[in-house]
Amino acid sequence: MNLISYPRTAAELAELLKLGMSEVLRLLRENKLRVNLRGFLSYLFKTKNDDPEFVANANQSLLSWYEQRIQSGTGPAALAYHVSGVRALHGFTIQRVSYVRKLDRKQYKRERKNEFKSVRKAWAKEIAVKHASELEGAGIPKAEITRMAETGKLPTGYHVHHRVPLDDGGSNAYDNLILIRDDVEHRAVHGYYNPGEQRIVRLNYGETGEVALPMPPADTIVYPNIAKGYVSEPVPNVEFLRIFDEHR
Amino acid sequence: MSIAELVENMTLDLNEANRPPARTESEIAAADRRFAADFGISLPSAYKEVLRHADGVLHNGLTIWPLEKHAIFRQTIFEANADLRDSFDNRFAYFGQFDEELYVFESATQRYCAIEFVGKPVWEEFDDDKEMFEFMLERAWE
Repeated sequence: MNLISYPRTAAELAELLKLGMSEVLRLLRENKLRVNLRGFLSYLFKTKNDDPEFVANANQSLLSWYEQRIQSGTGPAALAYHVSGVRALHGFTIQRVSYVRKLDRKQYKRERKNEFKSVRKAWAKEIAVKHASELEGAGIPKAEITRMAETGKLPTGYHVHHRVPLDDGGSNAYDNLILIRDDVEHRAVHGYYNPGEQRIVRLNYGETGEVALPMPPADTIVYPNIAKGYVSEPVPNVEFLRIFDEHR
Repeated sequence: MSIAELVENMTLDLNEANRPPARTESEIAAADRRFAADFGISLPSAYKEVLRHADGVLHNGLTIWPLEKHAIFRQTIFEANADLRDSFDNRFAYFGQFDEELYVFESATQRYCAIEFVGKPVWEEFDDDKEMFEFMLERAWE
């Protein structure tokens, strides 16, 4: 076949995938091929037609990638999808979580709607007092930290993230919360094509599934935290696409 | 507080240099036509009310995306919708985000609701757009 170096249409991507994922990855590594990450993954998932085995394998593959990384002596990091390109979230771990979507949806709603609102404010005040130097080291201006301590409002451009999701067994306990930048970092943690997200969205309430979940570093209250080397870094998309290679 | 009061308070809370200006009626009408052409629905009245006071909101973890690019916003309303509809879920139109919460309009059911990133559960439904915008603005202001 004649190889198109930048396939974009469904027909072109279909033709490309006939080569097999391993060959596609080889061509990408050798710079003989370019793909739009989002377009490619979108098409790939459509061809798999919600195949649960494909998603389960991708979760396992991501866990294996992480284990190999740790065994090689490289520091912990999560490999995560972002629309602008794949990121390594340094300091994150990838954990195998036996994810259970809360069956009691009234409890979930209570935690999300009412409890979180009050806990969030109290937690923000507390970390602004107890972790002021860490927040400042992460680049948050002093004035914003002072305001946070007084009002419980977050610094501009930050979100609160649940380390273990409320939808699973996560709670609003202080040690389950982290301040995360409303930028590539937070979107990448929830990256739509992350295998964990793909597995979770296919689970029914009360159902359990093994999920590869990116987990923020336990020893920081804020992410990114450059003082600890916890930053996001662009990595070649092919590193992420490897986890969808069924022959890996 | 009304939507207008909440938006004005949140805008005043930003550094003066970062305050997004209000949009004119003709700019809002043009944006409405563009949004309908791009995503198949009109801009909700409550969002237009926000625009009459500020081009977007950024306060305490809440983002209501603006029509135009500003330094403090990562995306415009058009960019956020193109991104989220393409790479998150194309059943929704997106108007606000508060932490892990997304405030959306679901076309199939014609309802305004709050969903969460992880697993996309709907955890709150609203009678209309006004109720949804008041809810997310008050949630960020309180």
